[in-house]
Amino acid sequence: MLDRLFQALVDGVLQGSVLSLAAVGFSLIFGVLGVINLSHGVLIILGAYLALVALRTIGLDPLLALPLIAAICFGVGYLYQRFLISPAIRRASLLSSLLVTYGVALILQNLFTLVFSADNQSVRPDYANSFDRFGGITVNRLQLIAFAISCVLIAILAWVLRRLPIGRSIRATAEHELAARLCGVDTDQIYAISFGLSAAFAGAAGVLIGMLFPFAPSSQEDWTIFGFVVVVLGGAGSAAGALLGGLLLGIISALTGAFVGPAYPNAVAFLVLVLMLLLRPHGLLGSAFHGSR
Amino acid sequence: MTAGVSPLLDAQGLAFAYDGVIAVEDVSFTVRAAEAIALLGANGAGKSTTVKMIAGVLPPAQGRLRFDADDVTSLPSHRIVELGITLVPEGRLLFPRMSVSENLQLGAYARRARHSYAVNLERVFALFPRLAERRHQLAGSMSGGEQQMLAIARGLMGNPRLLVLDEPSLGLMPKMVDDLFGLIGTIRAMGIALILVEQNVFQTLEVVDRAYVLEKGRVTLSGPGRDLLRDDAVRKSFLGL
Repeated sequence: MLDRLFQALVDGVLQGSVLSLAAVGFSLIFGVLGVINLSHGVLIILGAYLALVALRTIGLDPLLALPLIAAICFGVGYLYQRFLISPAIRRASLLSSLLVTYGVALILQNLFTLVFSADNQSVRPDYANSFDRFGGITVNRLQLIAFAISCVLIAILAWVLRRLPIGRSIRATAEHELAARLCGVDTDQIYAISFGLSAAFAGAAGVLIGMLFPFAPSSQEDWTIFGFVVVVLGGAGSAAGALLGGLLLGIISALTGAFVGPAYPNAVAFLVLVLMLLLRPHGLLGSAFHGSR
Repeated sequence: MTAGVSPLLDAQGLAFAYDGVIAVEDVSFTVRAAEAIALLGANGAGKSTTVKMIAGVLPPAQGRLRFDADDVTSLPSHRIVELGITLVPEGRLLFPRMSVSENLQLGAYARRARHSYAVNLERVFALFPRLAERRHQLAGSMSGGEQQMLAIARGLMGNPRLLVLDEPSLGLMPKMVDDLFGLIGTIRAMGIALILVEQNVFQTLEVVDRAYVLEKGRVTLSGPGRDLLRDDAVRKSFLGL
């Protein structure tokens, strides 16, 4: 019994770290731009499909392709904000970004279906099937690798936001756009860079997700919703909040899977989402949807 | 002082309307290098709208802005800051969840300010020793007076040639207001030109070279500060004398 609990906790933390990585960009965009990016999940799936293409065409290991895919996604996110989202917000309102991003999610989902079919795909490598035992707990080696990569990438983002001038100007723009502009910050540029970063992290998460789980064009919806849950749990706009929210979601899912039944993790995750919105809409750290804007 | 030389800032016929409601109808004024001018007027006279146009926050609907003889009309704010015009806005607009140090670092974000960061930081800490003491404190946790000092300090970190202060004395205690007007003399001594938007007419006219009085979006009166102090219309409408 105790072993099962520990096993579920470890599984939860390992999977949760990937959820954190998947959601951190969603959180950043909401925190900085106030945009709820409904195409976040499709950017994650884009990362997975890019890994698939790299593997099929030149036999590149997904982990080696990850930096390149993140860079491509950065460019995609940058241009996406500059030429689609920003004009929509300027001409209509912040609310219009919901429609634009939802539309883009649908278009890309169908494009993926057209190119790659609606079937499940995977870029699971051979080494994914080796296991290590620590005491009574079994750990999948690939999950351990994904955990390490997720933690390192989130730490890098936290460091960039906290220490680098570009990070400082991103936080300044998030806190007060006009004040940032008066300091000489080109906030349009900062918005585009933030979107690029968000997409880069989504793409990187997508590579790991493609290695860990089967994916299909329709998986994109789930990943957007997970991003939403993570932000509600941990709070928007901070790397630490995304890490906390992702780990909690992972642990909740794993515990539910182990003790309630393998069919229920999502149901419980959404129950937690609803309860959080009812009881603590500011998030556990006090910076979710209300507090950050 | 610099007669014959073109002014540092030349604003001609500025106009702006918010969704059809005219805020500024026709405002013209000049600021010479190292000169201090004031824009005076009641609430809604168009002072804040005017300085927002100068700072590139609002694009003028009509009129022309020249800085150092270059046309800067409708340039975005980050370009304006890069040229050396910094607006310290009404209400301070600090980054409340960032430390004093980080606020000052952001003030020096522009390329023109980065190379002189250390010099400017020293200058600012000499002017405001309290900010040096509290450099690790969050800006939002300081008193109103300290926040106003930080807002001006952040503006000075931008290494401006023209500093625009929009209602800096608003909400300050009388003692702090006196300090503030003392400070304006110090900033002038650094050779920085100033535009002071104020409702505190008497003290303002004492420290500026010239002043413009705005009413309903137009300049109705202008002249040297001390002359306006003696002007009957000004005394009646602003000083209640």
